[in-house]
Amino acid sequence: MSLSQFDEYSFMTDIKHVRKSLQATILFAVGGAFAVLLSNLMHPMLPRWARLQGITDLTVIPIPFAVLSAVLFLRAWKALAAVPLNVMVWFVAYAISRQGSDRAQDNFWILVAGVVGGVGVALSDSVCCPHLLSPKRLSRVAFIGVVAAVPFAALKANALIIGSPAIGVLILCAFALWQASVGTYLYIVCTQRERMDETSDMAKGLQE
Amino acid sequence: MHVELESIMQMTSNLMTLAGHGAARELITIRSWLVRFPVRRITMDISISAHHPVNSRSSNLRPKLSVLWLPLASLLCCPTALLAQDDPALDCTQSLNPSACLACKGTAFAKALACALQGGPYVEGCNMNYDGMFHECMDGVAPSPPPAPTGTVIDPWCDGMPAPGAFYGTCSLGFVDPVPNLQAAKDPTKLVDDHYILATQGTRVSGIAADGVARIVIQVGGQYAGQQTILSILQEDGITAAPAVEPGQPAPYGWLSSVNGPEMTTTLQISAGQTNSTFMAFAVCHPPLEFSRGHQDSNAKSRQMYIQAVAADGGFTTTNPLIIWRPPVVLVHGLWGEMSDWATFTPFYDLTNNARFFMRTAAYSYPVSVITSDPVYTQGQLVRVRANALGFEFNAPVVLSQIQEYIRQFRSRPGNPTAAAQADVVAHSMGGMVSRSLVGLQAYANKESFGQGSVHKLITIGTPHFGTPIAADLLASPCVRRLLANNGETPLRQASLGCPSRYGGIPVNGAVGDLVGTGDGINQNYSTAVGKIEQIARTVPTAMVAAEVTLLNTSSLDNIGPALGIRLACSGEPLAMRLTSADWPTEFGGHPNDGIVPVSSQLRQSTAGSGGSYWHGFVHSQGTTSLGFTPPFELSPDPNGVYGIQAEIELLLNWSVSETNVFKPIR
Repeated sequence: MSLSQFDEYSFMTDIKHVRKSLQATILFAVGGAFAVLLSNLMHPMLPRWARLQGITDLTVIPIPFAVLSAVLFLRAWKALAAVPLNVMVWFVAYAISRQGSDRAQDNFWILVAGVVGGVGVALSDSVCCPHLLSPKRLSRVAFIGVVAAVPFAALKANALIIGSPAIGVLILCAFALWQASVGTYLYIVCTQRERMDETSDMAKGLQE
Repeated sequence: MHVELESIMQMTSNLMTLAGHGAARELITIRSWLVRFPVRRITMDISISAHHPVNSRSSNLRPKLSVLWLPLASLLCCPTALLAQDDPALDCTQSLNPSACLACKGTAFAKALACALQGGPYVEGCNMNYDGMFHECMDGVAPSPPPAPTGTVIDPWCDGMPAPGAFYGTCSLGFVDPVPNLQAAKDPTKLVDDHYILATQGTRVSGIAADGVARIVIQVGGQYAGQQTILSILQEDGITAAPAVEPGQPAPYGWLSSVNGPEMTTTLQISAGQTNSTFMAFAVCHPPLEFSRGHQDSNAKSRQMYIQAVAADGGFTTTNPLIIWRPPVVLVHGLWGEMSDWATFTPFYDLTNNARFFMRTAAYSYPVSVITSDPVYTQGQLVRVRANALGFEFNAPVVLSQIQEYIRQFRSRPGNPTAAAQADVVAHSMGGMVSRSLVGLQAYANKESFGQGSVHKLITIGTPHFGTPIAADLLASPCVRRLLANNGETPLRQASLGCPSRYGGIPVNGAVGDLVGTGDGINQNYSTAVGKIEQIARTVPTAMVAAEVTLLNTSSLDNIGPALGIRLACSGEPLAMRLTSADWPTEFGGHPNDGIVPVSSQLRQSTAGSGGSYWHGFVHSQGTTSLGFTPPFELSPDPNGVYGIQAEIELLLNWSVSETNVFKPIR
């Protein structure tokens, strides 16, 4: 294999990974929106006594994200453990987001929930993808989590939930944005090794 | 010209969207002036934008923008608005006094503009309705000239004589409002009987409001002491009104009595007595209990009758017209509401078709300083609390003083001084409870109302007369409460106000606490505040209008919308979780409701046709629609050609309070 062939191959590999990353982004975004739709559809299916006691099925909201993570980049039997961990992280983040008693505190705790959610899913996925455990990567995913949580803060703390006719679309978009942002980052990190392996195989071929 | 107008419209439209809550009201006012332009297409644009719910809620941009734009917009639109010729109801050339009308409109405009630049209706002295100011200017429109009663000669006797009761160009027959100078000092129901005072005091009037309570003193000039005069009420066609007048029964032209006398008649004989420099006889004219006598008056602004004085010795015959006006109408908003809630209530805002109402809006949405509250809120949330989140008792005195002030304004309209004692009150939601509450105040039966109270009739729309089950659930739902509080709609059980306030440091009831109740009134399951109202001794003729949601209104709760947002944000709270079409009725035990108030409470347990009317397919309020319910709401305009709630209110305003199957005398 010539050097120019290597460059071309390497370039094609990059393109392929970018394309795959974009596909992952779209899948996570659709999954996030779908999760909200699913939760809304399932609510009336709960037993009436449960609904009237304030019980709702929020479990479905993290499931598309967890399943997509397992399928797209975890791809190991250990991913079966990551799925329930992802669901638990969602409930912890949700509980945190419910803290606060006024607008300023609501904003703060929703952003904290964004950080906890981002770091939490990274830690959960590290079961299959250990290089997520680096402090640099955890801090990056925390940053992405907090930035992607801003729309939630805008929705809840500013009481747009009460007054805005377009709130439904905004809620879908908020979930889609967060899950797409964090999911894409995790996907890129976890598939980086695969890409590096492909490139190094080529480099070996070039040396031979 | 059209281009300029369109740009003004676009500018105000943008400002409506951008300037936020505070400036929006001023801009609505500017817009309401702009709708008088003879450009139909622009008019449509305005009505759509001005009623869009987003305009009043969405943006947080400060209204400082209006400081830049309002003067320019106003200067451009002012001359056209003042000179508009296409609308007779606003055309000053049709006024009795065109120059005074123009000056009045200019003053009203300047005042509205000054208020807008100061920051809005919360500024002292700006808490009024500017559309109403234009109404006031135009109240000088000349009534159609009445046919002169046949067989009478107008005022042949008194030419060149002293003018004891001169008005409308005659000098021997005058009408005087006895409030306050001719009222007896101790008993507000009586008038003074001193002839000198009766001859010289009081305020000249040309009309009387058909409220059944106001009075005018009729002054009849005489030629010698003891001269007998026969006073008669003549219909507009010159025929003497039917003499039979029974207490409490409609007397379409009112009745006559001697001063403080018990008579109820349309023909009365009185005797002249000595006054300071002349001779004069006195009688009292009482107005009809209701303006409308039927279909012929439903669309009239005023009607006319005559008072005729005939000397028994044939010395003179004098006939003067007396205008009968509708009582003023005061609109009272509800919980967390404000004046602009009535912006979609077109029967009263459509000046072209409905200038017949002298309409004003009572408001109790001014900011209050809350120190502590139950439930507890943060300081950031408490600074958003307005009086409309506080209880009935707190707000009743404010609303009462506004109603009484509006009656005074009505009495002293330029060009149309009128005797009036009461107002018709149309109240939405909690406004109905505030209005019922004010009946128990000492100031209610004031001297100006001859001790009868300031409310002629009360029409409630969606009022929780027995509370609503949602109130208790709301107080028990911290997450939903917080969402509402962040939105400036703070559910309160109790609050301590800071100084300066007449309640400084004293706990006052919160509105939601006052509204706690099962809604059916059974076993008196309602709050102490409602219980107090039920104990008030005095009654007011009250008609109740109720609404019920249908699946068309609630099915949207299952969509991806505000209801889902609340369920997601407040998962675990039963109130939030019930925000679905299937579960929301359980809040009311499955009974019919308008989304917020059970129908049993809206009708005070009465049934449709016996003191209440009942409408399907309406939700409680615009605020309710922001929870995910689908409009129309109770104050929405009726669709074209459809008889709806607003048409019903117009009908009730024309309906006689003597019909107790419609207007129940409730406390």
